This record gives sequence, C-alpha cells and structure tokens, in this order.
Amino acid sequence: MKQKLESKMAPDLARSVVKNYVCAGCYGQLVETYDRHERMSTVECPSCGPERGFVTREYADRRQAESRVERFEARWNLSKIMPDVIKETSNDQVLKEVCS
Amino acid sequence: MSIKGLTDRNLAFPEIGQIRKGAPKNEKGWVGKELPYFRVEFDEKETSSAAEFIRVYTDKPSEIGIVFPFNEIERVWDAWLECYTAGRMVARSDGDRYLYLVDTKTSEIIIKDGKEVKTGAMRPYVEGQPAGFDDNGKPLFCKPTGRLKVVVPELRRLAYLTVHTTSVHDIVNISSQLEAIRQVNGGQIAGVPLVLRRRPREISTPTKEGKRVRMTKYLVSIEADPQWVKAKLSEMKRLALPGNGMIEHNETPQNPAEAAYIPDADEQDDVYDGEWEQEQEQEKVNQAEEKKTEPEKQTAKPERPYSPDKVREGIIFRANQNGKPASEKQRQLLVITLNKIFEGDEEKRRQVQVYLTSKSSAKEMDNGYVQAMLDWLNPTQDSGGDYLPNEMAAREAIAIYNYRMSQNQLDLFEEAHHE
Repeated sequence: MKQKLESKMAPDLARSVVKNYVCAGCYGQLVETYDRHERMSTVECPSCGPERGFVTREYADRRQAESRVERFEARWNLSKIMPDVIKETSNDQVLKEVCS
Repeated sequence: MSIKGLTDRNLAFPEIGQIRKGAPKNEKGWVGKELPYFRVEFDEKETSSAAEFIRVYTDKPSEIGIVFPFNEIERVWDAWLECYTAGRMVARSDGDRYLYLVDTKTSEIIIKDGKEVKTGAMRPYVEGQPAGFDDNGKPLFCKPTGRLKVVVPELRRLAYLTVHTTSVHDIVNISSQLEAIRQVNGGQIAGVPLVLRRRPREISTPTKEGKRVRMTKYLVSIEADPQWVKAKLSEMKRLALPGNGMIEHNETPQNPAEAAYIPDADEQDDVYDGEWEQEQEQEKVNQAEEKKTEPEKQTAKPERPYSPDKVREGIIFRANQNGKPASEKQRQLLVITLNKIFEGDEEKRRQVQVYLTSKSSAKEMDNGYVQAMLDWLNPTQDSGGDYLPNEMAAREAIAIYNYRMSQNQLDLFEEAHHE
C-alpha cells in the first residue's frame, strides 16, 4: 500500500526505507541524502522526486509478477479484436514470458 | 499534460495513461470543475500513443472505443468508498465494513484486509461517520471511488488506461452496465467492442445552502458497439427460431442441397446492397406462408458448422439460383473477408475458393458464385471499419482448407503407392 514519504527521518530509518521500499511512481530504487547539519536524512526517488511516496519492494515485485500473468491473459482475450497487435505465441514463448 | 513514471514500473501489462472527467486541480489543490468530455493524460514517455489518441479521438473526446482485457468484472472495475489525506489512503470500505483503516493520529494501520490487526474482528462502516481527522482536526469522510481498466484498441498497444470517477451515479451505472454486458454475452466481457461515453443527465445535487437543485451532469456510460449489438441480436434471433440447430428423427430435408446451406434472413447484414435484403424479406414471407399452410412439416437445418461438402453443395445450389451480376466491390469484399480468415495467406484462400467454386481467382468466378460466397461469409463491418466474416463461416472455411490439405496428402500418398 502506498505510504506518504516523510521529508526527513533518522539515518537508520532512512537506510531501512531505502532497503525495503521503492518509489510508488516508477518502482525505482530510492536514494538517501544525509544532512550533516541537521543530522537527518531524506529519502527520495531520483527520477520522480519526493512527492510520489513509496511502496514495499515486496509489493512492487508482486505487481510485476501479476502483470506478467495479466499480459498473458489480456493477450489471449484480445487476440481476436487486435489480431495485428497480438501475434500468435508458441507455448515456449508464453512460458518464458510468464516465468521470466 | 502528462503523467510521470507510470510506464517505468517495468510492468508487462502497463498502465499508460488515465482518463478523467474533470479539469485538473488548481494551484490550491481544489478539484477542477466537471468537463463534458474526457480529459485523457498519458505517461510522459507515451508520446506516440498520446499523438495517436488525439489523431483518432481529438483532445476533447466525448466517446472512446474500448475493450476490457479480462472477463472478471472485479478485475477491470474497482468501486469502493475511500478516504484520502495528504495523498495517502486512510480508509477503504465496501459500504458494509472497513477493509482498510489507518489511525490518522498515529499513522498506525488499524484494519487490514477487512480485519482489525489486533483482534481480527470486523468493523462495520457507518454512513456519515468520519474515518479520521486531518492535521487541522477536520473530519475525513469516505467518498465513492471507481476505477475502470480499459484497453483502447486504436492505440494498438497491449496496455491499459484507467478511467477515474467519484460520482455515485457513475458507479451505479457502470456496475449495472458491466453486469448487463456480461449476461448478454454469456459471461464474457473481455474483447467485446464497447464505447465509453459522456451522457448528459439531469441530476439532483445539493447546493452550498443545503437545498437541492437539478443540474446537468455528464455521466460515464459504457455502451456496446452498435455493430456488435446488431450481430448479437441476429445471433439470438437465429437461435430462437423453432427447430434451429436440431434435427428431429424421421425428418429429412426435402432438398439436401438446400438444407446444406440456407442463410438465415436474420444473419444478413446491410454491407452489400439493398437487393439482398429484399430477397431475404421475400424468403421470410415465403417461409411464413409455408408455415401457415403446413405447420406440422417444420424441417430443421443441420447444425453449423457444416461439413465441407455440405457448404459446397449449398454454395453450388445458391449460385445456380442467383444470377445477379456481382460488382467489382463485392468481389473485393469476398477476397478481403476470406483473407481475414486466413490472415492474408493467399494460398489458403485460393484453396477454399477452388474447392467451393472451382476457380482460384475471385475475378474468374461466375456472378452467382460471388453472391453465394458472400451470403455464406456474411461479412459485417466492425467499429474499426474492418469486414469480419460470420464466425461459423470462418470455422467452416478453415475446416475446408484442412480438408483440402488432407485430401492432397492422401493423393500424394496414393501416387507414391502406385509408383
């Protein structure tokens, strides 16, 4: 579940967030920036910035796996209406796509 | 305006954009006013899809052609009561109970997957009761939230867009329309050509003074593509005909060739010219008169798909009955429709043509054969302008090709055996 990203946090917590969470926007790696004067860290996505929030790495991985199955199902369901987009796929290709 | 990061998630079936009903939020974060058309935003990297969308639908579309990627309604349509603060969801309910709830003071998750984290108990949702409070102590209430996953075929992408709505009228509409489509189509919603529309409707809405006034709102409506509905109704009518698809014992059709292939009047479509319709109308009248005079002699057709020889008998019979000249356009339509079945494989098309008409080229076919072939294929135009054959005829054509191939192989085998 998407959570609001606190702008500043203790360095220990920031390291834990970077390890266990990814950007909610692009599922990309988060980066920690340490402020020496305040002795606090900020965590943000280098491409989306701090506003997008974060999701657990586990959630992102699960969504990516689900999405592979969704693609397979959508391809099957839409092959008649979008035949020029969806080419016939061999069993090996399907297995490769679903399992990769 | 575009969205950042949506397609960077490396999802195999990605969300490439969002379809909204209102103007963007203003600088103060206030919700934009309702628009009579859809506001479609694509991911910033989806420039070619965005350009193609605008080319087909303009930047202010009130109608969009869509299909659903999955058959299960719950996988394409999410409708909840949700509550947000500072971009974070703090509550979700199905209207009966909370499925997710956060303590807005401590940020602790109180309910997850419908159960209280500490006790495992369920908490009922009470209408009008706040789900929490924001930083200023203002109560937060759940609002209807609907999200619909749609594929826009014109974009030629295996990717979806999400339609967002917070109107309770939309949610009721969409839920009932999805259910209706599912029922009409035998439990299937995936791949059915549909049109997403904004429909003006007079809605009673509360004013700031607490009174209720009627205002025009542009609700979201999902409607089946008219061509698809027409085809579906024809199919339903055909299936509803007495004795259709059933052969009773001790009843044999009087003319085997006629029984092999008699195109149903209801299967006919208006893709060629008016003459065919007149002919079909006449057939209807004749059939009705026959029924009146001999009600006990109701002959039934064999069930489709017909065998290759039955189709050929039917085509020959009908070609001999019909001597009307076939236009160049009709010959082209015949080739296009057969090519559709065999995905442009000219050799397969020619094999079928030779088997049914003894001619490998549509140009060489006699007029009656062209008309009979078109009657059999019964092509209808879809929303994208493509001519699609009758599903049964397509199956029969493929069976004919396979039959031809098996015959050729048998011939080769016999030749080799004799040598």
